[in-house]
Amino acid sequence: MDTMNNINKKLVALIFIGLVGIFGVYQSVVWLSHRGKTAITINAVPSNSVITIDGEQTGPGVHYIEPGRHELTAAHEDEGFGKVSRTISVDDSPQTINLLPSAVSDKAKTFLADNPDEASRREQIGGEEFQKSSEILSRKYPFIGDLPVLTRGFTIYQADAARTKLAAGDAAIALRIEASTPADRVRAVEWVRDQLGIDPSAIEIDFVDQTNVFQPGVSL
Amino acid sequence: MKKRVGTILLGAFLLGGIFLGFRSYQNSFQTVHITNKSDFVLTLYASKSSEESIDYNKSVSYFSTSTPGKFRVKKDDYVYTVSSKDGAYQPFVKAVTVDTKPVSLAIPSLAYTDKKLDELLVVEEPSIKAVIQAKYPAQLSVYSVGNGKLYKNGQWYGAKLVPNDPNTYDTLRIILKKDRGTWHIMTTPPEIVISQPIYPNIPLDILTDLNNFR
Repeated sequence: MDTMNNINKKLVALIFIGLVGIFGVYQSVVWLSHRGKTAITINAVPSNSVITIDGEQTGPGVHYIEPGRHELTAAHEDEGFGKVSRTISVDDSPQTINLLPSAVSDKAKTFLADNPDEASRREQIGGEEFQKSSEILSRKYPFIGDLPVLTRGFTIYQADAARTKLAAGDAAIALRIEASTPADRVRAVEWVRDQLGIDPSAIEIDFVDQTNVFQPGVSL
Repeated sequence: MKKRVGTILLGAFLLGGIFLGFRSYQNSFQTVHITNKSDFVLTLYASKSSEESIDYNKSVSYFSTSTPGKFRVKKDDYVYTVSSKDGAYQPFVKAVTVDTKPVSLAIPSLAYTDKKLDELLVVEEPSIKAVIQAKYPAQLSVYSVGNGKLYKNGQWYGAKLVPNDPNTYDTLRIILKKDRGTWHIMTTPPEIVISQPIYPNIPLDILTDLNNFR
């Protein structure tokens, strides 16, 4: 009886040590595979979108990625969602990346109507991304709060930077100037420099009413 | 016997002291590596105030050289200048601290002086204007190329396109760059303001100067 008890105790101890050992080996393997990499959480709506990281297919969730630039895409073509791409810069800090495949097709709109949870999550993520983008732009362009500018002869307002070459993860605005004469356009640029405190060379400026005869298709 | 031991000990102390003094003197110096080109003169001056200042006494220089090499320099704050022998380049001044680690001083990339650029402009501008004329023959019937200027080492050119009728047409800016002996238009179309976010390869200081509305 005592012998049986001893054997049972030894068996339990061995099993316990074995389990601890296996767990330890597993954790070590996981730690080694994540070494030098950063945790990037990828969210997408629809939640079963096909996600690729540098061309390799994967899914949403936490991924351990090496520092550097990487291209992410998300799409759900079966449900009519178009592909969205984003280039990210990975350093030491964990990041959360939200990808929203475009929902312009009728099929995609039907999907969202039929899946209110997905639609709600999409709105929530969209709102977070907009907030993040607004904060980045306010820091980069402190004068945003002074726009639009409406004075005699010209108007200056914020617009999308359609022609600016953007780096990965960057956001930019343009200034749009409405002024009907060359003299007013000069005054508007001087206002940008003197009143908004910006070097006009450092921001995209689009002139709405200008006729530029050097542009293709514009006649003298 | 005791006298002999005392003498030996005294001698050892003296030698040790001389050795330590010599090492201390040696350690108060550091190696400065100069990478130079024969057309330039690099001169090291004592700094008048603290690290990062470029205030120096121009009449007192530690050394001046046109050749690469290694120099032993006392650990301290200095200012070094680089100037071209023919005066064609803008002078360069920078503070440097010589301390615990060896220091390397190299000739930076220098821009031509305004005088040199003006001389080059006389030679280059006819071919530059020919390039603009070839690209925009119709438009140059109502515009003329004015206020042309070379920048950096003469490889960048910026000019205003001035309208014959300033009430109807805007004054525009255009930039060209010389590459392998040929001038190329870098900004198409010419614009009222040329922006670096759209043309990130054009140095910002060139754009700021050209876009100056004053």
